[in-house]
Amino acid sequence: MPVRPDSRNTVVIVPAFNEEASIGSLIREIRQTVPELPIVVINDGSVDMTAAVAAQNGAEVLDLPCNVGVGGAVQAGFRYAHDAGYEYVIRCDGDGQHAPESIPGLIEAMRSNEVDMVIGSRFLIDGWRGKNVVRHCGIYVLAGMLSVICRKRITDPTSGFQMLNRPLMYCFSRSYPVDYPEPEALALMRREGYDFTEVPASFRDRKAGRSTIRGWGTLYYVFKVFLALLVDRARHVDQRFSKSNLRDKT
Amino acid sequence: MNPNELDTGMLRFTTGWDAAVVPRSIIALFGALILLLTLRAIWKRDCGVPAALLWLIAGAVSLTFACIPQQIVNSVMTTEYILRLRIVMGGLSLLVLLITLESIRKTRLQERYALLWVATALTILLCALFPQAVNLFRAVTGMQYGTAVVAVAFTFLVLVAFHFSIAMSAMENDRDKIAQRVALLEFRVKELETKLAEKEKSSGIKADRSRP
Repeated sequence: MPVRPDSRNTVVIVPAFNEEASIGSLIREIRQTVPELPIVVINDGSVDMTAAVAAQNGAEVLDLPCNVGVGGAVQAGFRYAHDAGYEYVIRCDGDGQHAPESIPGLIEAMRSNEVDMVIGSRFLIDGWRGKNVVRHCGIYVLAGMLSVICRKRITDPTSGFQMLNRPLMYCFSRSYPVDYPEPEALALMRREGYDFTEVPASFRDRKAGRSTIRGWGTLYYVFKVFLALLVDRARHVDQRFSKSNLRDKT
Repeated sequence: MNPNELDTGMLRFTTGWDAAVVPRSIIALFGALILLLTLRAIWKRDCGVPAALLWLIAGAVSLTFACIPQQIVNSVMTTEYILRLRIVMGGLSLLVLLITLESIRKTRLQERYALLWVATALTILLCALFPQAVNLFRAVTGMQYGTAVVAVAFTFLVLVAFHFSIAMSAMENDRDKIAQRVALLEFRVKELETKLAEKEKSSGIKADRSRP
């Protein structure tokens, strides 16, 4: 019987890169919604005052000496959570896109389902917003492809608003994709035998900072994700990190 | 100059292929050696499928190359040189593509660095399949087909090299930051150790650490 998430065994990690303008209010919001959970900001080599602002607002700060990208920063968070002995970790991005008011929904879904990961999906809550048609079309195609690969319906494969348990935390702390990691990580975890479920979660437009996916980045995103998903099918499943192997060991 | 016109050095090989016993036997021996080693590795199960396939192809190609009779050499020599060039280019680009994908699969290569290699391979493949693709470029520069394809490939390889330079600079920056952080942390650890030792000395508690 897995341990249920509560205030002592769950941590919120907030990867942030140059988010001094929004990180403070985000931490206060998270504290308001889930006052009992510890918050750890992973400062991904920001050149601004992100780390200082986060510390002022009462968060623990994991300060990476240089910029390692989203994948590396999130992985550092998973590693920290695993080393510190937490059973569950919630990822809430530092750009303020993931609305903290949806965190209780993630915890509730983790409590009532036998899954390893809960993903907050923006498309389960308000469907098509139609603001960025090209991007949403891309996500739609990717979702269809990933649903086939994962053999389970997924609506928002690029969402980083996630909660995961200890075995998956360990798996990801060993190997996690470098940039734009979410879709690839999903395919990876499904092949290792982990299960996920989606819950509606509200996403907001970023208040400050800029998305890493724009211009040429979009083209690279498409190339990278599709190539990675394709090649991943030809890889052997590393049994050491599979669910059946890790269930009792981590 | 007519490209099908051959100089004497090439002519000696093409007309006297049957008589070139020494180079051909060396090539054949080499191919047989590759085949033998590959089969041994497959037997002992210590190489992956794609690698074994590549080596088998290499061995078989050099072995059959050595065994080619004079008639085939003659017929190859009389085919259009552009066709031969296209076949070689296409084969090479497929090889680059295969090695790139295999490296990604083995997690030896990140997708970020594969981007330009895949682009290079696909462009050359495109030029090999559709020779018309370089016609505009040829019209502008006045190059022959072969030269034009090499020029395009060269451009991409320069891009790859430049990408490496940028990546290396970024890595050097990151390394500097990590080194600085390590030095600062080491300094703080030493400082804390000294403070701790002083505290223990003043309070008279015996330190139970294994190190003196």
